[in-house]
Amino acid sequence: MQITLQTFGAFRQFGRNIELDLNDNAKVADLRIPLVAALAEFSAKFDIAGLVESSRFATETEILDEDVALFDGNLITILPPVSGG
Amino acid sequence: MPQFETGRIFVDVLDVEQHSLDAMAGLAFVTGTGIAVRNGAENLFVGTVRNHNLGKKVLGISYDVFEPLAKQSFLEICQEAQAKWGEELDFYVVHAKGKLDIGGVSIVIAVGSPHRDEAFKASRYVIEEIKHRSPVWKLEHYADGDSEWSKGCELCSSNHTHEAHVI
Repeated sequence: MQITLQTFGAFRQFGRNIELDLNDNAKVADLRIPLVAALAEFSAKFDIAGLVESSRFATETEILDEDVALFDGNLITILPPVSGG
Repeated sequence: MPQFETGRIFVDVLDVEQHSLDAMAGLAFVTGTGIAVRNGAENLFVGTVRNHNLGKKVLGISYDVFEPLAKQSFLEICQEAQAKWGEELDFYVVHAKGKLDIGGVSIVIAVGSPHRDEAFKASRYVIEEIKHRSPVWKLEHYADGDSEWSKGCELCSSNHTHEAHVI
């Protein structure tokens, strides 16, 4: 299935959206490995794996638990560590 | 005993290219006017961009905000503060989005309360929770031409196994 990740913060430099292909029945936790792979070209300059691991995934109304099921066409937002105020 | 009225909450995110944050508007919101003034204490917190961070000279900060979830988090945090310190407390929370120069106002938090102790505590709670929970990110611009995203606080999800806050 196809998932679109909307980026914020430190992920902005990799594009406003990142398209990922995931297996059917994938859950939120399953976004991380293909995301790291999709950003592999930047890994020499950035700690992509660390940034992805420290991030959470969300919709417009909630931060998603890791075991929430994903569906084809979902728009998910990735939230790196926050620094408001 | 007179019955108290449930406090009012106003939250927003403003694009600073179109609007400046107005601390006095926040103060006016939680103070009220005329016979509608029911608070005896108003606490105003203003966050501004300073000219240094971690030993580097800062020229400005760009704020990135996931608006729908940020506004929802502001509302939830204010409601939590009402549950802790009084349903009658009034709150005004506005956060900036976009690029600010030194001295630019990044956040305004105003709290109105019948008494000062609750106003101070609720105000401190709101800013601390926003820093740890709200989807806002800052990109610092340095005098040497470099820019860097602040390290920030790792968000919690109920079943993720990592530390809640990593600075």
